[in-house]
Amino acid sequence: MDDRSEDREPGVDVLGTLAAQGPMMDLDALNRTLSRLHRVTGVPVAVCDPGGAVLLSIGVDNVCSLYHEMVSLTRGRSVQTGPCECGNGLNHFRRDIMVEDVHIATVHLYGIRRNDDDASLPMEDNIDIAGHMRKVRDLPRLDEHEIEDIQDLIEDIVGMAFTSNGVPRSARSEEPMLQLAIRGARMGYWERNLSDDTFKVDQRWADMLGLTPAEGEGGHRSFFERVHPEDIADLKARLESHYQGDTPFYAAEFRMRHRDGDFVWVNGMGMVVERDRDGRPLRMIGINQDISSRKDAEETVISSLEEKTTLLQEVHHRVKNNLALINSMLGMQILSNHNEDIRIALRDAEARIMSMALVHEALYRTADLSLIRAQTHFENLVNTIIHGFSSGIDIDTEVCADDILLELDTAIPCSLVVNELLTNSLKYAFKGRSSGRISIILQRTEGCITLRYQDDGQGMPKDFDINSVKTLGMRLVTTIVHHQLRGIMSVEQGSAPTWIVRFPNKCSCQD
Amino acid sequence: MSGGRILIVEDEAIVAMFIGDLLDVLGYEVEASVTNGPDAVRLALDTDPDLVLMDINLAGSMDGIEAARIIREQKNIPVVFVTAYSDEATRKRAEAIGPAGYLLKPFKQEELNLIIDSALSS
Repeated sequence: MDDRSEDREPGVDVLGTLAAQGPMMDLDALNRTLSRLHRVTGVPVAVCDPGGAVLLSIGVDNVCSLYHEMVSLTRGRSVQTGPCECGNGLNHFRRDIMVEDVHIATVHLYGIRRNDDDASLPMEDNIDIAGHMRKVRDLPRLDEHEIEDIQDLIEDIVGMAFTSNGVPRSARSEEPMLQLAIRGARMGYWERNLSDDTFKVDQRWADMLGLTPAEGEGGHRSFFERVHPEDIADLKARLESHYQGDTPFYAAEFRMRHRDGDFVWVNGMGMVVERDRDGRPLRMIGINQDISSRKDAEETVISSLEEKTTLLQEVHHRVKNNLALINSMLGMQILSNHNEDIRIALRDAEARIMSMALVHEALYRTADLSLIRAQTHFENLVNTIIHGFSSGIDIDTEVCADDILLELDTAIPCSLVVNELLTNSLKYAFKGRSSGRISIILQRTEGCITLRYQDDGQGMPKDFDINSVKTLGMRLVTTIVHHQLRGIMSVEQGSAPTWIVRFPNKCSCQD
Repeated sequence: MSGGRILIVEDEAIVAMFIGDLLDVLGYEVEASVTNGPDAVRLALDTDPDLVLMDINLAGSMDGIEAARIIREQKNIPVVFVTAYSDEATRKRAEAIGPAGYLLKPFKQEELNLIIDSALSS
């Protein structure tokens, strides 16, 4: 008999004790199952917590109460306050129930071994042996294998009702299922009482940091002593925001110091579950999840992305450098050549290379190295070409490209088209004039981009036909539009002729 | 008559050659053409050119911005950066030494002429 639980009310204090310790069980369900088993086998059974307190007993009173009445030594005690080990002559079979290496309960069976009648006789002289024997007469006589089978069965039943972190496996209500989910997600549970500054954690929370639950507990200060100094401010701000009611729940990713000194990345979530009349938080509960692996993976991805960005940036830089090199060679050729036709041809080539270089220049300066803003790019291109052409004509320009973004394989051909049209205007459109106007408009329309190029120069001959023009510049434009941009081109004749180029918009981020 | 003596600092031989030819056509005298930072510092301090055309990405541990900083700490020689680098970080570092100009490659003859004119006249 155990007197440690003398003052406990059966099944109430015990559960409270167990809840505080962690393990819990669905006692009602266990009682129903073991009662059925008792009705079938007739074997008295008692289940005790690891401290020896009786959680439930079935059929034991029938064989013990009479004995207790008769034996002064054990009088006043009962199986409800401790396992019956009163020496009533019955064989006592005891087995500890382990779940995940944790001792969660002890099962006591009382019975009579087959061919072991003496064992059932009371050892005291002053008891009513006949009365006692009437009580035990109906007890089953079992051989050792049968006893072991029953012990195995009870162990399975009890084991199923327990878990190592306080969740009864047999439970079907919403709350235990939630706890099962928390366990399944490898989350640790915590509870913070703000009124007395206490912090309680479960085993899994403590495991994340290589601590025991007792080591993990403590107040506000001891908790923040474990948080990485760089993460404290953000964590406090998020908590405070939730305390103030600005956020419906608290969530933060931060680092906590493990027992071995390393930091563990933790995803913490929780909410205030109790406030005082003034809305001040009193109690908060939540979970922590170890996200170190995810953070490691994120770091690898970020690092890899940064490496690729650097490499791509270097590629654009080198392409631009090589284009500069080609332009330098063309430039030297221009300087050393005195044939004006050749010099013009070389300058045209130089301008084309410059148009391509400006795309790489624009890409090199963008964050994602893949899309350039058409408005900025064409403004830059037009200024560079006009400035480099030194025509002596005052050119008023208008560039309007809204918020269109261009990819590399659209930006370069598009730039070459604009370069050719612009160069053509500068060479021929404004002859005999001191000023002129050039307009470039890009618009998105139904999955396409429409480029409208217009100058207010002398216009085209009336019989102008794009397809019959044989100059290199125009051949380049038609080839690029049809074969590279996969577009169509037309010219609207009038007082100010307009070149219209329409091509598919490849950029998936638009339209 | 020379429009001014100019030191070219450029590790790409062909680009250096082109700049030299251009300067010649534009009427400037090429003081020297060097390919690394330490040589640039030594020659600039020794020969006191009217202007240094400085590439930023140079071979060796001293880049053009560092070379320009050392030169400008000791002598008030105007420096124009001629570079393919246009990112914000590089520009900010370059601007910190107070350059007389910043010319992006590839450039046109007229652009070089304008920026040199501007640097020498200020």
